[in-house]
Amino acid sequence: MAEEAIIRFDQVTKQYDDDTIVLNNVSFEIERGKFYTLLGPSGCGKTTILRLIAGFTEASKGDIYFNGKRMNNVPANERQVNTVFQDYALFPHLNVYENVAFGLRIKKMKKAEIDRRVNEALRFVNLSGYESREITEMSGGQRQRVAIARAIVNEPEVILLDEPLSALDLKLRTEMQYELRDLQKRLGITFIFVTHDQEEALAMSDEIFVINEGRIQQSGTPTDIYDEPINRFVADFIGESNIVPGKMIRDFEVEFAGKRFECVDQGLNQNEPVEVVIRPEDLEITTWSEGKIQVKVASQLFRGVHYEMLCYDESKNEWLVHSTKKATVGDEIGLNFGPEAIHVMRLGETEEEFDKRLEAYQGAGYGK
Amino acid sequence: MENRARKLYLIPYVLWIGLFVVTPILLVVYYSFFDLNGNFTVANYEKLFTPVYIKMILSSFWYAFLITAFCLLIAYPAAYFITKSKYKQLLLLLIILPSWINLLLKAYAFLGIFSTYGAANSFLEAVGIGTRQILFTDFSFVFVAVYIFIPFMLLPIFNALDKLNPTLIDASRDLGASAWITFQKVVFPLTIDGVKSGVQAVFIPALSLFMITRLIAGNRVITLGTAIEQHFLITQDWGMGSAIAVFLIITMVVIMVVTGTRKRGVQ
Amino acid sequence: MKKKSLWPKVYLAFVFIVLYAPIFYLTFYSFNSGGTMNDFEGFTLDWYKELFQDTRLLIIVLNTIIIALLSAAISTIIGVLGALAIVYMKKRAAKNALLSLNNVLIVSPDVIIGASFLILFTIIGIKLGFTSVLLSHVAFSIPIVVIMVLPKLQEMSLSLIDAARDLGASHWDVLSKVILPYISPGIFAGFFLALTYSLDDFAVTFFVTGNGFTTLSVEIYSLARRGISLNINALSTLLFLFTILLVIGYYFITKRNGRTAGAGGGNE
Repeated sequence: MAEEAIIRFDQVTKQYDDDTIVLNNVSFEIERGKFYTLLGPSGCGKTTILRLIAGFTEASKGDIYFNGKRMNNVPANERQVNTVFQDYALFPHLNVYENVAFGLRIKKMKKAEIDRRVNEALRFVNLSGYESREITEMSGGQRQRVAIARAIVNEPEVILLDEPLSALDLKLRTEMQYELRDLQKRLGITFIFVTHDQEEALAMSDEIFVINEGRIQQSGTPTDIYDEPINRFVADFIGESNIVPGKMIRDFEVEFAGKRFECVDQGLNQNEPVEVVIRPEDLEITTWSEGKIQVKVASQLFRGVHYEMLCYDESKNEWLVHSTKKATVGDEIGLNFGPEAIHVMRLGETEEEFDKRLEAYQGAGYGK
Repeated sequence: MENRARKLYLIPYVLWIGLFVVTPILLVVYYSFFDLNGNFTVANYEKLFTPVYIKMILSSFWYAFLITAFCLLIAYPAAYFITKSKYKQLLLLLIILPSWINLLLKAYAFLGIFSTYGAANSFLEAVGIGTRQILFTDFSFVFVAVYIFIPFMLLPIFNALDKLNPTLIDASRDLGASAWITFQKVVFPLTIDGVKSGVQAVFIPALSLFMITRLIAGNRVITLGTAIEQHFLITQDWGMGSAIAVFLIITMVVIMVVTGTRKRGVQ
Repeated sequence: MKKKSLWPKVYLAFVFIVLYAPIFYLTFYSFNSGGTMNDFEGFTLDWYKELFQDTRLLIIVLNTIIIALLSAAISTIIGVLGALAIVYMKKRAAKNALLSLNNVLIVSPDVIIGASFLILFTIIGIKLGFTSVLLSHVAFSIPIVVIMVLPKLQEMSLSLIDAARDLGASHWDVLSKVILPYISPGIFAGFFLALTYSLDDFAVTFFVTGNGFTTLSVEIYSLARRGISLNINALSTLLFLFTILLVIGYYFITKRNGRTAGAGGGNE
């Protein structure tokens, strides 16, 4: 495993002079050739991780390894990574060609080689023919591509992307998501992408690190994280969730909203207080009598693909429902869901404990 | 490593500050406590409060006030009209251009214009007032000083007016204010910082003018500047000159504090 | 609204006439064969000829230009270093202190700068003349350069520096390939202003110059104190033309720079 990891953080802490801790004892490994996303709200420390990898800032504690070598004190200009910045950071006094050639010129590469590589990089991002344009003459999406070309032309082992899509409008952003994903596949190098946009993260990543308050809350594939959020924060941050308090009666049986339901979770203590997550799209509208729980529709919005309803049950729990069927505000309806739709979260469980619990009963036929 | 580079940048600059900013001020303060014979004394400061000097100081302030007031009266409307003009960049350049012409030459021009048979007197003759002595009067002094300082008053006011968000004026009109009320309640308060900078840029130099007093006012007007020059270069009484300089520095600081600019509203 | 528009025009026209009349008055009489600034007797270029035969005056012009170019160049270098030091200074208090000290010479009246420099040079034993004038001009030009360069440095996004480092640039590369080109319009404006400040300065030079050395401003002053001489008119006409050329040149160069560098970083 250790040889495979291209980047490894070992108990890294970053603390500013005024004692603000932005990164708290973080450890993780980045493997070669995958698309990683660091996802979290602003100020969670995700950009700090990026800056630590790039070498723009130094860790207060802990070690950072590149290909097994400790890199804490290697300056940014000697690291085998390149960054695509949030504001692109294109040099306004240089044209497109010179921006892309910047890193190669620093390395004193031969003119012909520079020419070849710049042209190839520009072809890669579909900007052939724009070589002599000024940066000010380029649109937002084009600048974005110049920034990517400037990074990939140096053939780094890792490319860091710091919220590179946040300045683009929605349509362009979706387009660029496809392009970036495609680019990473074609180049086959590691991408580390920072964003606060969970949809972006789910759509593009091989692996997501959900970060909050300077800690990695959960890491895993997009489906893992969506289906098995480890705590309230992750469940809330990734997609929309109904989170209600409950009680684990025994394995495969949980109580919430005043009733007991069959579920697929196990390995918890009997009568342990828990939080229960059900995604709004997993709830199905039915008649009052046929529903597993009974709610009253408080408001309804048409969202295009579906209707979004806000309902309350008798214990005053809030239920958000996504349904293609329409309801009427004020109606009392029933909600139906299968045992797999229920996800039980243990209070205050860390990622390691969660993984351990999963492993412990993996053999007992768990899995979906 | 980075820090060492930063320290290297700092060396020549900090040397400059030490040698040419801090030291000269300390030297002036130090010298102000010595008399002509090199004895330590506070007599120079006592002399500042004798009637002769008090009169000189007051008249210097009065002239500086007059010059500043006339500059403001002329420059504000001019700046306002320029911001409203289609050719505002060109007009602004035309206003600044004369300020780049050597001060001495402008003063010299007035020697000709205000002379007994010069253009000003020909004009007075033509309108029937008759020839007057214009040169070497306080009028000529104030006129030339205003002439020289107008661009320095106009520029900060122009900048303030230019930065003023025009929708604020629309908003004021929309809320029922007349053009004059809008000017009083919105435009002027929001450009007051520009006026303050302009006043700073005119009042302090006006206190310390000395070349014009000699050329145009023929020694009829003694400003603080003239007195300093007199003591340093003619009577060689550096102690007294330094005491006046210290007084001028204190005045300057007071004026800067009083007209200290606070940023607000102007976007 | 339409009816009102005449007043501003009349007012501005009046202001401009008053501002420019003296300059044209000087120019006009520089061609007067009569020898005074009152009666225009006939057209002549004699004053210009006389000017170009006056070797003493030509040497003074040369002195003035040398002082201006040298002082502008030196103060630009020190000023740019100073601006860099200020911008990348971490402690806020130290930064503000430097900024305040920087502005002292800008707001100080010329008389005080002149008088205090006179004391300084006398104390440290620098002979009044070329050196003292050059040092003074460098000294009062440095803060102007700093003021012109600082905004450019401040508007420069820090991520540009990160980007350059990221692409392998050493500290020296970052300075020479990114920062200096980026702030070049500011440096140029600073150099130009330093040049004009030096060319225009009378008061400070008047204090710190000795017997053997004089600049144009000081020379004009002593000539003017002796009364009117149309030589000065001819000289001022030439200076006026020179100033206009400088301004036009400056205008075009800043305009060219503004197109590439002025438009700001990558963010729209």
